[in-house]
Amino acid sequence: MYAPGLKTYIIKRLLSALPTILVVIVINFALIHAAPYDPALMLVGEAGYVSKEYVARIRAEYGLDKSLPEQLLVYILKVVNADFGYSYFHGEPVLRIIAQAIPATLLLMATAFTIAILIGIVFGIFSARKPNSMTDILFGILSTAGYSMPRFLLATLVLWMFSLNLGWFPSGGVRTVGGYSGSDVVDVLTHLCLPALTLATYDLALVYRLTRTSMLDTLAKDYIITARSKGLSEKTVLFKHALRNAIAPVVTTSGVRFGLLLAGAVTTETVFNWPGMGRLIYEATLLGDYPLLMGTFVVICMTVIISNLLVDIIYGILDPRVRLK
Amino acid sequence: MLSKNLIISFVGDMSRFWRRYKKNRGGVVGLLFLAFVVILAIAAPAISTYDPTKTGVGGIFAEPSSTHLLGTDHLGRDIYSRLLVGARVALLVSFLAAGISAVIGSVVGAIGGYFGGIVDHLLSKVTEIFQVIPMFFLALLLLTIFGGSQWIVISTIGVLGWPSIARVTRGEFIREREKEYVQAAFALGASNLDIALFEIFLNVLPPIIISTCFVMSSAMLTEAALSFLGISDPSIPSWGRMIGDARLFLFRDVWWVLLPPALMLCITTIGINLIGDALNRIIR
Repeated sequence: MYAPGLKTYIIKRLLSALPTILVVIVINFALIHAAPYDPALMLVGEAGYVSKEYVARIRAEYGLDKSLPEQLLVYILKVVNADFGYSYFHGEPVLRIIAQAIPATLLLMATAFTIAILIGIVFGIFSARKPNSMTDILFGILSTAGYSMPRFLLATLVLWMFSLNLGWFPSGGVRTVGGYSGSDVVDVLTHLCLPALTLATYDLALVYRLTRTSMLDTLAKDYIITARSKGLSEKTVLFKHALRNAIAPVVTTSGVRFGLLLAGAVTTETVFNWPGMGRLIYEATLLGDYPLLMGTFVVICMTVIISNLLVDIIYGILDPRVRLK
Repeated sequence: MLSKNLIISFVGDMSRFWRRYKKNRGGVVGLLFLAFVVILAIAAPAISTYDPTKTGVGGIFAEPSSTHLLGTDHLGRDIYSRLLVGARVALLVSFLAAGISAVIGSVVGAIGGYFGGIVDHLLSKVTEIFQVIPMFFLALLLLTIFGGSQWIVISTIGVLGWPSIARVTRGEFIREREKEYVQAAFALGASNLDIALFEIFLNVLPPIIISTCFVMSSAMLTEAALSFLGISDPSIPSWGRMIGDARLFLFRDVWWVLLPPALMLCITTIGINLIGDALNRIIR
């Protein structure tokens, strides 16, 4: 079924991601040494009083008395073995703290991503059907506002309007504090609404614009004119003939965007007090919890790298021409 | 004589460009938005009524009135005056940061696109890697470690924003390299630097300017988001910081603390994005 070379293509893509991972680790390592503090302190965090024994142990563990190349090797091996160090503030290994925050973040990101893609594509098709109509112009204005508006501002305004003023939605968290009378799913969903919509807005506007442009290009092609002149219904032309070809650039871009959503979640989660990785990162910046910050940095970069890889591979399956590059 | 001809052709180009630009309604609106903000920023010292950083010039959370046009915040600072200086901060940060990005990006892109081969391969790889790393997060990390003074904020955002400009520049250089006028310059014995700088670079300036335009608006948003989270210098009245301060008092329903900086930030970023879109449409 697949054209020959898919396996080679996938292996090649995997190998090409390795330098990026290495650079991310080296950036972390460089930061530890470039920081205006003792490297040992960077690995412990600005934890106020830390026992001398603990600092000495860290120093030995990371080989801080050895030469820089040796230290780098020790550091790379640690990260490769998923050892991101220990957060003194949380009293737990960094990896465990991150793992605990992932479900909440994943729920938020997946919901936002789905909203952005579905609504973006539907509105994009709708606009492309009658370009320069009143609805098209209106959507155009809304999308410009949508991708110009910073997430933190949208989050703050939405919270102020719909939660504090109108009282339609809870003001933060995942569940009602002190228990909720109805079902748990409903409780979580009402808490999810505002943060998910906020996180989705930018990508919704982006997907909308991409779909619209791509659909307009496709609808002008000869085979669409042929399909129309054959007397096929508008629905068949739009969804069966045009959309299938117009969707490719949307798939590529949105896959890449998924990884970047995580960085956008920092402000959204902070405003809505959503207990995911974004809020974790914010708290770590306040406390100067460097081990946790650097751990989350690696995890975020890995997420972006992996989602890019997946997009490339899916694209390689959909369009074998890509593999030749 | 030569310079006079150059000026005449430049003026001709500009007026032709303007005739096309003003047909784009969004672009004109964007230009008006940005002009409004620029005028406020320039006029700030003349039209502000109080020292924007001084606390207690009015009561705490005083409502808008004739003495405090937009009221005061939780420390009794005049919001109207802070808003005006905020325009300066936003423009300064985005201009300087985007300037840094433009210089790095166009140099990297030009070298890769012009020389090709292994140099291009390496530089493209580096560009790709930096495009994958989420810039906002790296900025957060850097500023937490090195402190968030305004110059560190500007240089961090500037240094992290170059990859998209580098990609555009590289693509343009590859396309132009093969054209006849470049070959002619070669034949006439012009040096690599002369060709790259005076022949190609001036010809590919428009797309570079457009991508810089988008980098500018994202630099502004990054600075605002960082200030919102409280990571930049607290003494600088950035719109992001004002919104961040307002967030802490949302429950008190003091709309005048939140809405003015929110509106200004929106006007500015929408303005820049509209201009970028319009320019994009014209050169395509």
